Amino acid sequence: MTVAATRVATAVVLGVSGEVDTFTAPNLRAAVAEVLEAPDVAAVIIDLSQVGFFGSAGLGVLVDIDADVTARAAVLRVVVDHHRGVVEPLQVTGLDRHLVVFHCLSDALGAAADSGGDALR
Amino acid sequence: MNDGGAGTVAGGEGLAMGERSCRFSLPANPAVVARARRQIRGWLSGLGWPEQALADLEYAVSEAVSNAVEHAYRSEPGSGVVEVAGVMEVTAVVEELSDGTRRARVWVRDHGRWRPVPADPGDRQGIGKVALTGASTR
Repeated sequence: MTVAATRVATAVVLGVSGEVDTFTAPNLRAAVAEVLEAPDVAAVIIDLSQVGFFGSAGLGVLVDIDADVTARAAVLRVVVDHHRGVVEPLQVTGLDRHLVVFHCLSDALGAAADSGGDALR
Repeated sequence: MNDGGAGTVAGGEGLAMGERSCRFSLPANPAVVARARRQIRGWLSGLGWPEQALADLEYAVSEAVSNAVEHAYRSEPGSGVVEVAGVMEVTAVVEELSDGTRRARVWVRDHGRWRPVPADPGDRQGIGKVALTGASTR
């Protein structure tokens, strides 16, 4: 798994690629923690469209990240395309209804902070 | 000894080893979870397994191996994470069913001990099992 951070105004996009599992998931949370050290980050966007495998460790870490981001008065947005290996774990566990999910990065960047995101179905 | 708990794709004693079987051992640490996925994917690809069913099984094996690593070989959080040397075994067989379809069965077995159930399991306890069940019951 690799994570690349890109600043877009007050948002930070974390482009994740590779495989998110028990071994790699903690690094994603660490990457978000690093981003949140900047004082003016209003939104953290985690782009999972280049992720090939997304295990339950990734789901757990998304919940932790959501709490971390909310504690800093920022918003978390998650971008997933239609890759089944990422979409299904989110749907099966209902996490897609808990998180703010978009299907493309431009929508996530353009959305208002209070946007409800896209439905996965 | 505990079976690793791979839901409906795993479990039980008395596995019959046929020609179309796959068996490998892994040291119990988080870095090997990806290796378990590669092994299962490579084996099923070689058998011409359909991609969707293959991905589901790959997911289930990954979760079962992760579960074994996390729960069987690690001390309780709070007392410090101590990796204990251990080996787990993954055994997989393909069975021909009477209706002409094939079924893959996978066992993930560790040699650890069940850790005590925490008093407060937290709100994410079981998320892997939910995901695993979703992937393995189709």
